[in-house]
Amino acid sequence: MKHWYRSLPIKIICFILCIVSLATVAVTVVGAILLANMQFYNKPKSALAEEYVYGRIYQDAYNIVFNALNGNENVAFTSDQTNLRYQIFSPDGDVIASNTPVVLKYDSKAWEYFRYCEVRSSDDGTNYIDLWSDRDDIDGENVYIFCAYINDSMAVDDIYALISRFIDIAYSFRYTIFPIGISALVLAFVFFIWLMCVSARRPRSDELHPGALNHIPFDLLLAFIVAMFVFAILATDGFYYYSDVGTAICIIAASFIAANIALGLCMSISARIKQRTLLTNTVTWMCCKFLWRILKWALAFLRRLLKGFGKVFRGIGGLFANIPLIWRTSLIILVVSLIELIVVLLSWWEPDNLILWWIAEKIVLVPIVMYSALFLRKLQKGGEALAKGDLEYRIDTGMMFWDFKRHGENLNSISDGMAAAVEQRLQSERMKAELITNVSHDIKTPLTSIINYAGLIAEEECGSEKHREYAEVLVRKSEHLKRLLEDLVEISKASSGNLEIVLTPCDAGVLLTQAAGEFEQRCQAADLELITTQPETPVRIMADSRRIWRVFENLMNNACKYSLIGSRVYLSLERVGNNAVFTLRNTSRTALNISPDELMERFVRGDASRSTEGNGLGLSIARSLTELQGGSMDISIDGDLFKVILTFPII
Amino acid sequence: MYNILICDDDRDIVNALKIYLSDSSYNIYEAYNGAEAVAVIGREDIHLVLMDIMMPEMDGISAMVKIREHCNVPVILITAKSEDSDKVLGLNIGADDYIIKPFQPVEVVARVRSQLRRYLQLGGGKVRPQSFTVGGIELDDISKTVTCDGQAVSLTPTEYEILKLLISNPNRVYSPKEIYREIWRENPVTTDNTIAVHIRHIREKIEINPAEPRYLKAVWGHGYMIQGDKK
Repeated sequence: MKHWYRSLPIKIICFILCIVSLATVAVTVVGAILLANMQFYNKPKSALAEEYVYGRIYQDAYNIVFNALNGNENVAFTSDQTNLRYQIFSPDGDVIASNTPVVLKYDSKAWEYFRYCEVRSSDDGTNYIDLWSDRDDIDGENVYIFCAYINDSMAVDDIYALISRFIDIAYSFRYTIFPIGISALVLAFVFFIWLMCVSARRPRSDELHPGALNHIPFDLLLAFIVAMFVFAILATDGFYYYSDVGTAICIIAASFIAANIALGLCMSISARIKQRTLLTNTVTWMCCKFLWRILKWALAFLRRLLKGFGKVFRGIGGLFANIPLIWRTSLIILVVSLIELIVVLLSWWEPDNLILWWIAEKIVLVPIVMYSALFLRKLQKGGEALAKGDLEYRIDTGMMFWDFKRHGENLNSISDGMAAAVEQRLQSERMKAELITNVSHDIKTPLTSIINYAGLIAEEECGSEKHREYAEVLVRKSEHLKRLLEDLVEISKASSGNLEIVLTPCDAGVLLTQAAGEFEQRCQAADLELITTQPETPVRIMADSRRIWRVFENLMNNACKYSLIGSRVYLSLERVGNNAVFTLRNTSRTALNISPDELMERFVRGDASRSTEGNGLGLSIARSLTELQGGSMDISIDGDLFKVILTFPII
Repeated sequence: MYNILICDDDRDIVNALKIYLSDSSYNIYEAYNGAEAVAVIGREDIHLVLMDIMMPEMDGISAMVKIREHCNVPVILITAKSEDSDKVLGLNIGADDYIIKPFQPVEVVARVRSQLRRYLQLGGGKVRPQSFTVGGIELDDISKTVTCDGQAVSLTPTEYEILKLLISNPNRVYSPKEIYREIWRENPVTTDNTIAVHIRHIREKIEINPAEPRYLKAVWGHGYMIQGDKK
């Protein structure tokens, strides 16, 4: 059985053993202290026996002599009831009382115990006695003598036999109790540790199983135990003084109960520590937590309250801010003036005079404030126009003065500067596009001649085969140059926005069909299968008919040029939310180890396709044109899958 | 023999055009600016003018304005200016065709031929019933023949029907669906690109440069139409 040592019987046994060990420790400690007090460690056994036996004899001697002198029978001290053997001699040397037939000489040496008795007679006739070991301590002649010895055979089981047995045992065990005590202590410790380990554990489980006790809050438990002890102590108060034995029993019982409770408590603590609930499972903790929660809640409430107030204030502020500036100013003046009026009327000054003053003040103040507000409104209007991008707007600063005038002029300068900058920018863009257009015109004329004469050479009949071949290269390359030029002009226009775009409603599905029809043959020539899909219902978009065709032409051209021979090209139209989405997918012939962004960059082409026709501007033009028509174009490359997504808003 | 005037400030281009056109047995006159061209036209009986726009002394536009004052000889502008506005301007002041440099010599020859035929047919052309004419295209619904610049074009029955539909309503844009319904009398399959393919085939047969059609134009996203003669 796994973890047998965690089972309940073992735990109980352990507990009992631990308590027993602890009790043993307590007993040995108490015993050692007692023995030390009784001088067992520094006196020989005979001396101890003499001391404790003589001590007892003294008590008995007193009673015996008292009884004898007052004429009482010593019934408790007959020879069959005690091992004490005694004789009392009168001052004359006569034996007046004895429990032994043997008459010994009146000699101190012959008796183990020998005392002189002083007799004092009281008024009621009772004789009181004192016992002395020295004759010189007594004045007068009336001295009785008490002689006694202990019958060594110890025939009677009385106090003397008990004392003698106790001394025998205690003496022989006086050193033995130390090893017993120490081993008991070790055992108690071992059992204690064991119990601590197995607390809250069960056999066949590695989880914690706290007992019912452990669910009680720790401080509550502790308080209950303490209260119980206090109550017990209070209840037994005074009981102490009645009897030594009773006290002893009480103390032992209390200790036993305390030990049990303490050990149980220790186990509970260990279980709680294992569970990590020693501190948390306390009423104090819960109270603190509850208080903390209340505090937090109160704080949050306070914060919300403040926020609410803030919102209310902001709301009022917002309401106020929406009133036109001039009206706002008027409102402020009205309120201020009213307050002033009320204050003045309520004051103990002479009201008539004050009202005159008040009116005079307002007559001066109101026009000034209104005038300022008017200017502010003008400046505000100018600023708003500027913010909206209206660079033509001019603030009329003619009627303004001081700061208002300066501020207005500053705003005007800002719009002037910005207008100039924008104009400059636009002009440079336009100039760039114009430059490219003009240069391309100039290039086109010589290019025309090149194309024509290359064609002539190619057709010349007297030339060799090689001549024709070379001429064909010239023709091909000059054609390429021509396309490059056209694309260059187009991209410069498209990207500088110098292209006139006329948007009309178009049927995207028709566009798709037309594109498929136009490129059907080229796809077949390239051994490509063109697959088109489109929704049943027409999808209408705003587009410039010619420009959107250019976009499709470029994209389809690319697909025809760069697709893997024998693969399929997918051209689809979908309705996605409020958008018409064209998707063109084809598998590249060569590895596309290039990012879509790079591919989109002007003049950048897939490396491997550099040897084939095309100039890489196609995608760039397509994107610029798409964007000019209010659409967007995205390219994604997934391995060899090349995907272009055109998105246009549906009208 | 037709007299053709070639006018360009670039002598090499003039020479090249001369070589290409002399193959087709035309009589070539040369001019190197607009003024010269106007002078030649005043002096000789010219049947067709090929003219550049950007030239010294007098540019092509001014020269053409001058020519149009007293003569309706066909003028084909050959220019590096490829902007739409340039084209529109050229055609509006009386050019009959517009070729952008750099051009394909074959295309120039074809266009010259086309313009000459139309110019000459203009005088003796008579309008027959059941026939439609747009530019150099003539469709005779009785003989079921189509001629392009006087040359017979062989179309399949479907192509013929489509062309007939378009040419009988010049400048009207037919969507592929409408064409389908008109020809087959049934509703089309949405994703069918049959019409687009037929249109391309027709274009290849009647257009000199199918990539830049003069008659059968695509209005992308709408449909197709035959561009009619400008009134």
